[in-house]
Amino acid sequence: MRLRRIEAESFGAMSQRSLGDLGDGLTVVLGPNEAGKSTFTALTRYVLYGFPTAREKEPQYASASGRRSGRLVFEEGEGRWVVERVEGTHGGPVSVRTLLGAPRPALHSEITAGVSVLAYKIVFGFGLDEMAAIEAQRGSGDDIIAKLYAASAGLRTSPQDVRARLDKEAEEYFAPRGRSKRVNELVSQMRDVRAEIRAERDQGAAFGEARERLAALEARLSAAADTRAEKRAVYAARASAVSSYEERIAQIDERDRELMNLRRQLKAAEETLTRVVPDKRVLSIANEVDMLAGDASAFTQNLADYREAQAEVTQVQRRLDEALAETGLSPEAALTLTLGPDLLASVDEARDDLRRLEADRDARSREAERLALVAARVQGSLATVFEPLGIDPGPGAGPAIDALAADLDAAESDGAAGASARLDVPAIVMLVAGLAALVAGLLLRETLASMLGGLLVVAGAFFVARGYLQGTTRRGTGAVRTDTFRGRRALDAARTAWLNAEDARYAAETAQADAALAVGTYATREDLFAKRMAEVGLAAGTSPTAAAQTIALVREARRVASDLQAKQDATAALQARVETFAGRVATAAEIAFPAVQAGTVESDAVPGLIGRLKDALAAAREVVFGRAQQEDVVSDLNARIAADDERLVRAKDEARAILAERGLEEGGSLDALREQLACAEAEARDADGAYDEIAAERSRLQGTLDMLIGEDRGAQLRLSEASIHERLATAVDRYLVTSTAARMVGKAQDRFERERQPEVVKRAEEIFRTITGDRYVGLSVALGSNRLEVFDSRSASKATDRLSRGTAEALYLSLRLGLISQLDEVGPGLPLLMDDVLVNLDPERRRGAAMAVADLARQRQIVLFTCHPDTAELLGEIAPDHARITLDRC
Amino acid sequence: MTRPVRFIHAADLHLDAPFGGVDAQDARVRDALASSTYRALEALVDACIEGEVDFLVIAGDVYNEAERRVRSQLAFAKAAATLERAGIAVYVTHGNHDPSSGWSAGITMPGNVHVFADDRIERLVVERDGEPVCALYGRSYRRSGETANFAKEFRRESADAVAIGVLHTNVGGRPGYDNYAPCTLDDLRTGGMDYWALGHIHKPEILSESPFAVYAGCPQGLDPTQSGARGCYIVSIDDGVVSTEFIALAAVQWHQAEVDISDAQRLDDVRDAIANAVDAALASASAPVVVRLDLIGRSEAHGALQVVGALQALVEDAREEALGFEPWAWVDRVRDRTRPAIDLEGLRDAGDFTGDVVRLADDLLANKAAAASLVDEIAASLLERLGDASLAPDAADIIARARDLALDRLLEGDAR
Repeated sequence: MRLRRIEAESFGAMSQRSLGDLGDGLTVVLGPNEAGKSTFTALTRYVLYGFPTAREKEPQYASASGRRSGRLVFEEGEGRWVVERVEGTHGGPVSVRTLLGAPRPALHSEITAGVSVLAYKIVFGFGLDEMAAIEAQRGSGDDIIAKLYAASAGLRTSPQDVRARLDKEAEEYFAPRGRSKRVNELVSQMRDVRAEIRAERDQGAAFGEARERLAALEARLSAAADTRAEKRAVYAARASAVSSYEERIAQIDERDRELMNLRRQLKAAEETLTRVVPDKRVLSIANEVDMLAGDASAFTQNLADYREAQAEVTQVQRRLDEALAETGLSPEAALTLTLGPDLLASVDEARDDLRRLEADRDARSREAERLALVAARVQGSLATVFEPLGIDPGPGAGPAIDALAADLDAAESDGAAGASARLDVPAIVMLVAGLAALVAGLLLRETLASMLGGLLVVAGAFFVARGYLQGTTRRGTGAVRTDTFRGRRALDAARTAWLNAEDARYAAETAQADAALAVGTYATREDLFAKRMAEVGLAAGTSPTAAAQTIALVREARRVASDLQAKQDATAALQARVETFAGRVATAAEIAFPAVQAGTVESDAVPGLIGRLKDALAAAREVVFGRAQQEDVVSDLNARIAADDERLVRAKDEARAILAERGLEEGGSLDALREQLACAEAEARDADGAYDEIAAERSRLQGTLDMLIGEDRGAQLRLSEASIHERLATAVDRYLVTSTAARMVGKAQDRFERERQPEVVKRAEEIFRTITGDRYVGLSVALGSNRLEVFDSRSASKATDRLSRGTAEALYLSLRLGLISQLDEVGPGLPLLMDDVLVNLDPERRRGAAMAVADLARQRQIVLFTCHPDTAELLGEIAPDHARITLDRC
Repeated sequence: MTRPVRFIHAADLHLDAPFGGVDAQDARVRDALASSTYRALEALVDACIEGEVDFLVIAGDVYNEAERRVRSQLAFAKAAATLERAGIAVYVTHGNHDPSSGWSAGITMPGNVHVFADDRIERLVVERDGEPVCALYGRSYRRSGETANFAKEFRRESADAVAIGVLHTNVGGRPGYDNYAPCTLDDLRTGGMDYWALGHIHKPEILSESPFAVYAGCPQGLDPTQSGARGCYIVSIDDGVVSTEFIALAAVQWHQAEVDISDAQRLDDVRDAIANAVDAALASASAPVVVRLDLIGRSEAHGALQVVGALQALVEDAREEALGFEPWAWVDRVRDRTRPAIDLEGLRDAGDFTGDVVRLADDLLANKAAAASLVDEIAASLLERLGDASLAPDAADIIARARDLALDRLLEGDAR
């Protein structure tokens, strides 16, 4: 891969300007100052790594014609590609365009792989300003040499970076000289968990002791419970004593007051008793008065009924008179008339019979008349029928017809037998039935009936036709047969008419006889009924209907007469009761009220007397009741006084006993008892407090033990410990692996530098010797010192800061050339761009340097910018195959 | 014909044992782990009752610590009481984790609990209907560090119809376990027992069938290394013929596996591989599983896994999904043990910087002292601060992984 052209599209003072074609090996670009040598060098770097922002301390090469942009044209084999960049964010976008050959979109990355922008600036594209930068960068964290060697090994990253990253990762777990979050966290967590485990174990170890304490507490609690019960019992007994004593005292006071009151009531009751005396006369008839009072309402009712009965008797008498008059008989006759059930039945029967016989008589008469008319009409029509036959419609018409018929039979006896088959009656029946079935089937939409009807019609028609045809055939026997047939028809009509006339005549005669018989029957029945009425005393011409009416009126009169008798009997009974009761009342009133005379009491005064008697009796009884009550009161008061006296004595005895029980026989009092109660209460309270205290302690201890028994916190804690330990082990493992990896990378770096860097240094030393003409023969990089040392021909070492500028620049150029000579595959397309780096060398060293450059140009493309023609000439002399480009001043 | 002697042999309950090496961040997982030894004890009691056994033998280490926790003692007392109601006796020896000299909370055990003496081989007779059917011989640890050979002292009495030895011991000096009450199989054979109910080794194993010498293992795996089925043995001895059947009891199972992600190209592939590994763990488990995975193989995804937080994100994603299963799985840890898809041999022959790194690592790996020196130098201040010897690194492993990390960064350019 070779860089062929550098094209400035718009960069600094240059626009649309290019440098090329560059040679495969050494290209010397000769140009005066401000010809653009540094500009092309910078443009190459910027196209490869991006345009610097204004804040970066890099030459900006701002363009007056727009955004900075440039192109590099690379070539390899037959291919040709352009790497182009335009100013923009993040250095500006870079693109690869293929001019010739296969596309290589990753060409830019291939070219710059493993070469950072700083490495490029120091090693590949440098001027005098960058000459000393290799040494300055050593140990600064950006080891250019190491990076380049890493790249030379095909690594995509710097071992230094890898090591730094691994170290950083390791420190995430643990930092020997700093704070490491992960391990510290885990150690802290482990410490906490283990402390909890210890505490939990301590609790477990105290379990036995706690159980013993609990047993002791249980015993104490039991004793305290006994004491508490005892004290409570004492308190309860004393409280009971106080209460009982207070109750007795109250009872004594209550009894005293109650006795006083009772005695006062007794005295008043006894005084009342002496004042109350009942009426003995009234009390002597108390039962009679009660009965009279009880019957008073009945008496009143009887009296009213009696008077109403009297009125009704009068009314019924009047109705009897009216009923007797309606019968039309004398009262005696009416009341003595025999009205048995036979009479009434015979009247009814006669009435029904006569009605029926009368109707029958009339009907038969009408029928006889009708039949007579019919017989006459039929008889009249016979003449018409008999006339063609020559028969007289008289009584001898019958035998004449029979004779004529015999003649006709004789005439038809020859061959007329078939005529009987002329009309096939079954066939006609079949035909008619078929038609009926057919019509019915069609009307009713009965297919079966229709079909059956149809079949019958066809069959009937067939047989009728056959009969007809047969008859027709036989008709050919002659005219005699025709006459006979007509005679037969006339004879049949005459016979029928004759028979009808006979029947009508017979019916008329029969009906006439029946009508005469019905008239006779009716008359006979009328005679029989008249005789019966005469027997019972009714008028001879009385019809059944009139007889029935008379009988009904007589019966009503008799019922009224009976009613009257009953009323009169009831009235007499009521009168007797009223008078008896009034007598009893008068007698009682005479006893109770001396002013009353027994015989002077009217019935109407009876209710008033009863009322007076009742009042008097009630008053007497009230006096008796009041007295009895007072006597009960006196008796009750005496009993209560006695009971209270007894209770009073008992209460006083009990009060004394209570005091005696508490040891207070002498001078005992309620206050003394209360004083004892207060002492007992205090002791019970103290016992309660002691019990509660022990119970609370026991409860706490029991809770602790329960927790120890039931919890699995210990197991959980140990699981936590195991978890943390696992995480700690993982952290330790990761730390050790990561840290060891970092250490191994570091060691490899050391080995790499120790074993491979000498190749670089050796090559640089050779170049340095060549440039300095063996004035300096040695070059060394002391491990760990980050310092270069040179040795002169006398093996005297000299630090770089003590070298002259020219010697130092020769040294740095030697280092670069030596380094690049070892970078076989790093930056395959990157040319080495040197900007007048030989200017400070003396001619001898300049020649040596030119030889080294020409030598390196055989393996890597080099573009050397110079404004000194003699330098160009020198290079041309040493490397005749070099390419030369001359630049004019911009 | 008498009924066979039927019992359950369990050991190393380690009630309330702390679970080491697990990062149980989920509350459900924490609760399950915290109560797992108790749940296993409950399962053991259920197995005894359902199996209608004559008795239960526990060959040491009922509790995890000499300072037995109150909760543990109460839980065991409750379990024994349940068995007592079922008419099942319990025979217990103290082991190195719960020697008889250990602390007691003073909780009285039910009458069916028989603890073997700690000063002699004690013979306890099991009776059925008043007739002796079996003799148990056992001895408890007085202190945790019993180093005498107890097994030699066991001698069966001639009258015993069935003799069972109960001992907490390390038969044959197995590595990884304290060599307490050490003995050999020959020592066990001389005792004349029909069945040796052994404890101390947490992995269930039948050491011998003549006589039967069986480690019941722990009913509940106590750390990620104790993976696989854990439980007890139900034993039947009929006329001298012993038959055993293993019963799984663990409330939480552990599962460790290596997941080869050599074919993984991206993190998505790694995620799928982790999910498949979790599925496989659940497929072989009957209880919730705590899963630990090591990603191995030379994979293109190695570089992506080196990005800080990348693997953790995958783990958290897998956790969220696995916790939704029934039974659930907890992805406790996924370690990246992959190697970059780098041709180490090629780099080793190269004369460049990465070759230097490879050769430097080779030198260190070839010189253990140098490797240890380098790693110790790096780890010294950290380990000093932590004061935890268990965190001491494996220098060779660190060097190898550090090499891979360095190469990955140098070649993949992650640091750029």
